[in-house]
Amino acid sequence: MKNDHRRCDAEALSRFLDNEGGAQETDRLRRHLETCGACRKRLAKQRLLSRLARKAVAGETARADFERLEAAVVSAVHRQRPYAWQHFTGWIPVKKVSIPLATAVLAGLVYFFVAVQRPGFRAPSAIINSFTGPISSVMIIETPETRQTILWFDENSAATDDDKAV
Amino acid sequence: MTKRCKIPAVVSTALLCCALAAASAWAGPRFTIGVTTVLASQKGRVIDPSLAPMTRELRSIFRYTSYRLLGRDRVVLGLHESGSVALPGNRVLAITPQGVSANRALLRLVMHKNRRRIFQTRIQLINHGSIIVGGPRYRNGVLLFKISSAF
Repeated sequence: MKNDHRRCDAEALSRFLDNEGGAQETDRLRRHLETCGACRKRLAKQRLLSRLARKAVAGETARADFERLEAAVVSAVHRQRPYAWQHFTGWIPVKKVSIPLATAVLAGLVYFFVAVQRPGFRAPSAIINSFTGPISSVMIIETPETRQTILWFDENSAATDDDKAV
Repeated sequence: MTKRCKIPAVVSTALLCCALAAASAWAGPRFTIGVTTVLASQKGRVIDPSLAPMTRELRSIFRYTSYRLLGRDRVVLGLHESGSVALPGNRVLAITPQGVSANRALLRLVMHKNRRRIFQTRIQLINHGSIIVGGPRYRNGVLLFKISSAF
């Protein structure tokens, strides 16, 4: 370990450049750099690169339009916000309830439009099973909208004059 | 009366009430029959405001321009119990509920005039529905009877 400072170590050199090496390692590397021209060149090259990179980053940062960048970020955040419908669906507690409920409502609407809105779907108000009597004629009529049954008879044969009295 | 005597009396009264209630339940449904008598004619253009819903469709079928309310009657009948309503022109309508089938009341209607039977019919009237029986001449028009039933 006596001649340890003579060995080239690229990783240790990188840590030395970034001031990340320990005191012992830094001391060893300093002694090594006094005797190793290759490592001195490498270190100088790395320092140059580092300085140029910092300079480039600083230049770009100075040119950056932070206001426009902020506006773009805010706009992107707004685009990501849930819509009112997403709020509504989030409010419905469980889909197991909402789906059958929606189906039932839909079925109810279909029934309403088919059975209620369409007059022909209604049953007649009355069904006449039998009709007997000494009358001249009988008609069974049904109103078109509500299917109200009308039983119309002519009792002329059984009529008397008192019907005409006021 | 002592406390010992009161308890059996209360229990027996309660049992009697239960028995009566059960008996009335066994008697079947009660039918509320309504009869609205209307005189329709071609004299004038008077339509009784209370008849507006009834006449809305009738006006598209019949040529009558006037609908006057002559009377409303209501009878509540049990199964196979007969009731009668007096109608204009010495007419009487006898009504007998005979049963219930598929949300319809089975009714027997018999119309008499001067104690003579005019007709007899058996109808199935939808619950809370009605039938219009019409045709007999009266005064300057014809009589319409709207017979409704609810059970």
